[in-house]
Amino acid sequence: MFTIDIAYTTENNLKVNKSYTNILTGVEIHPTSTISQENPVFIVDYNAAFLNANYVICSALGRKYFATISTDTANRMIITCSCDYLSSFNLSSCPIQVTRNGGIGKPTKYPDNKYPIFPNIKDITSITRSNNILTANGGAYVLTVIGGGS
Amino acid sequence: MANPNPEIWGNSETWEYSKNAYGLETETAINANAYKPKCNNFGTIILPDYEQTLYSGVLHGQIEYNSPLDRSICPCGQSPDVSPFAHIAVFNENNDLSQTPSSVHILSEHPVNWFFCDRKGSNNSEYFSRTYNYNDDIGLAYEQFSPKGATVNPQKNPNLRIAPYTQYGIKSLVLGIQVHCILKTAEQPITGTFWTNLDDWKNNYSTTYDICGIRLFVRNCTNISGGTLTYNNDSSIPEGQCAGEIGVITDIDVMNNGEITNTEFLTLFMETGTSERCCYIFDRTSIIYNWNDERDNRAVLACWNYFDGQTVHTWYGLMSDPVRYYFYKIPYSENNYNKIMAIAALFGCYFTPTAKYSFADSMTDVDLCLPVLDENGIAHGEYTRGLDNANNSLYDKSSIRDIDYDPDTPIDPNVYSDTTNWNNVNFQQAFTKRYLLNSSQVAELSTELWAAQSSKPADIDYHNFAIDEYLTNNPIDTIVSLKYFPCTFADVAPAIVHLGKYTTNIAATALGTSVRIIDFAPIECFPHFEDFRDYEPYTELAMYVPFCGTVKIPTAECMGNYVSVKLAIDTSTGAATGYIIVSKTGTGGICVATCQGMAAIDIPVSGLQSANLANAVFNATANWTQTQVNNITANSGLFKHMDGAMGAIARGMSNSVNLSDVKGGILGGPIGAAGSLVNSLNPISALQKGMNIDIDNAKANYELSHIQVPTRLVGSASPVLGCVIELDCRLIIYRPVTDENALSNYADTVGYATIQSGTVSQFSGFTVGTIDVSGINATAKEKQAIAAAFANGVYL
Repeated sequence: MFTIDIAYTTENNLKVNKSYTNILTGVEIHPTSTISQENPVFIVDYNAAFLNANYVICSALGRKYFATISTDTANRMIITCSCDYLSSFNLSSCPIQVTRNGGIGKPTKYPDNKYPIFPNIKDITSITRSNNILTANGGAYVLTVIGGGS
Repeated sequence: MANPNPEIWGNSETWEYSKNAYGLETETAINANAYKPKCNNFGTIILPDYEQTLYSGVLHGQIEYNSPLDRSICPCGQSPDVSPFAHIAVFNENNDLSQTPSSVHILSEHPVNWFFCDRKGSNNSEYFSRTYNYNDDIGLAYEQFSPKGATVNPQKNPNLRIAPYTQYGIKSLVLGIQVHCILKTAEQPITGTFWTNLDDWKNNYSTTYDICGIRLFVRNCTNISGGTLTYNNDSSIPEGQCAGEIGVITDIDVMNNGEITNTEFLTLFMETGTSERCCYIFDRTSIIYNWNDERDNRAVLACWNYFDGQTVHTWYGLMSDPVRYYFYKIPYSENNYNKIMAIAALFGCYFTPTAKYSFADSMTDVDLCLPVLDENGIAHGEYTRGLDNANNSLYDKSSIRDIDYDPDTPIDPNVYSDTTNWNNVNFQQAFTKRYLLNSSQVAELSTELWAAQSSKPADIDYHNFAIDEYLTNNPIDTIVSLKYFPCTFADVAPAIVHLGKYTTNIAATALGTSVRIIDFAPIECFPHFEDFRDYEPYTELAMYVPFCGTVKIPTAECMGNYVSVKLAIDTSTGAATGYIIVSKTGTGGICVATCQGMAAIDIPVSGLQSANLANAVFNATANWTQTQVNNITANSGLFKHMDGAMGAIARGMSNSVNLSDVKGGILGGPIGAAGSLVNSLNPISALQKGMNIDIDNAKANYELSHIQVPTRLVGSASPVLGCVIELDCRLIIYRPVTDENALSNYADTVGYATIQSGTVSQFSGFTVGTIDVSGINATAKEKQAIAAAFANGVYL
């Protein structure tokens, strides 16, 4: 029997492996001639609890979907789905080369041209080092005259 | 050698060290790279049992063609595709070299990899294998190269009669190629021959000498631990040394008639009754015949038709001394030279065609050759030499004694340094003297200059006095420069100031240094942000150097390191150069930037130029005098004006003129508008004879009373502004300013720039990257969608 789980999620659409809350699991769908794997449309009996649903899990298709609920005149609910790729597959072991990441918490040594730095403002400071050999008023006069070398 | 193919060489862990003696062929098998049934020294076959020879092994199918002979092959096995010395061949029983080469029976049409067999001494009756006479610890060291020694049961494996010549525990081995030189015109090889190294023959003897033999000596032998191996005279070995014993080469010896000196060599091969320890490729054949005309030597045949232009000669001795010599005479040609080099390369050892034997310090020595080995450790005759050795798999930059080279690891030939070398410059002032004065002494100097002429004796004129005392007409000309340096000096000694020969009363000090170096303590360039903002273009650095100004320095080189300044002041010119130095630890370091400026201030020095003054007075007087002469001829009344001082001028016209007299009393009365007269007067003509007398008079009078007192200013006023600003070094840091208000959602919406690799599970938060989804079970479209999502950013 073809069933789906109807749920809702508050996660960002771009979240990988979303968490969700089931409204009702094992909901039977009315059979249709074909069901798209990527953008299926499920027809289920009306249930007011489904009005807040936005997420569907279909184990038969092995995928999770973003869902839009509508009600037709036959007192049935039509659930239009689009595949949530980021949560339908186990991506945890997939190799990845990361170029931007918020999880590291702070900037790195890699140049970041998106970082909010005022372009024309600089903070100027300095560090000094002195040497007692140099003196403005206590120096020496060097007289060079003709004659033998020294 | 790294990892020879165990399928060919066998598993090296199973190679055994054995002290058992090994069976040796009796004849000079190596010479001809061939075997024959065991014979005595006289060529007589004494054992009919061919089962105990390689011949029999091949004959009975115990050796496969094109395959190495189990583990009796050394790691530096010879490839058969270059040299005839890599072929197995036997001769017929007669071994009669008077026969054509067709009497040579080549066992294998397909050459196999094998190496020379050496033999023991004259004990021909023993059929046991023998290895080398070392103590266990040394002997164990060469297991790597030591295949299984022959057992006392040759029946089990007749191949084991072949003992490898490389049964020695050395890590490095340099073969020296020697050739036996014989006169081109010689018809017999007994006299006039000598051995020398290959290059010596090529460069010095090849026009008059051919060669009749080639051999390889061994040099620079060390064991695995690096100790030099020495000759071991094992008295238990009958008839002298055992093949394979290693000696220390002290020098090359040119041999005559086969005689050698006490120099020790590696015994790869030894002929009966001699003490040679080298591997003979071939040599002239000294064949002793018995009356049955039995003889044995196949030396010449090994290289039959191998070299260009060789000829075979036969020389017969006396019937009472039945010696028959067969020998090749091989002329020099580039092709023959290259073939000899290839033969040496086939041994898989370092080698040299020169007399040089010490290469411990340089693997790229021009005289050192390295064989090129294939992936199985087989040599094919190719080699590198000199600098090209750096590209050879056997190359080891540290020492030729170490064979642990990893060909996958590139060798950086550079020597790096993180310290600039500074020079202490100090040179002799040849024609000037330099003194250090304080401010009060400078005032004294000024007084001395103006009063310089006051010490003149009355009987000496000013000019001669100046020349004698100051070496110049004018005392002020003794001054080259007076500069103020805003720094202190050390290493000074008391000295009285001399102006030429004139001794002043100024007790100053002598300046001893040419360059004054001033070091400023290092500044740690600490990364304030610890991220990209510490580097350009965000953070910029500049260094203010006293007298030199401000110079921009590269942030990337300085950040995280120490920056310091060295200021050098030239005490001759006053020029200053600032060096900005970057170091990792605050000491040493590399100069990354320089800047120039002027540290000294030029102090003007003024004084009287007395000679110029005297000259000016003389000229003015002469002109005035001439005008008076003109007056006399035209109007005689004016000579009365020549009384007083002018009279003295007119009469004497010497340079003993009192300046006050000149200035004060020339004219009896005012000349009127002297300025306009000066501007309008024409040059005085002594011959005008009164045509412009009044004008001439006025001009001459004016000039005489307005003689300029010549003074001189040494130096010019120079800016003192270098001392207005501080005299400290100052690292100026320009840092970026972050808009903190824009960072509240930055991590969750933009993410920080980074470059990291890993798996998805290792990251969290907003993430942008390139994901590899080839391993998930999804449609192509879905994979593309996932990759696109990650490229734009997802939340993990």
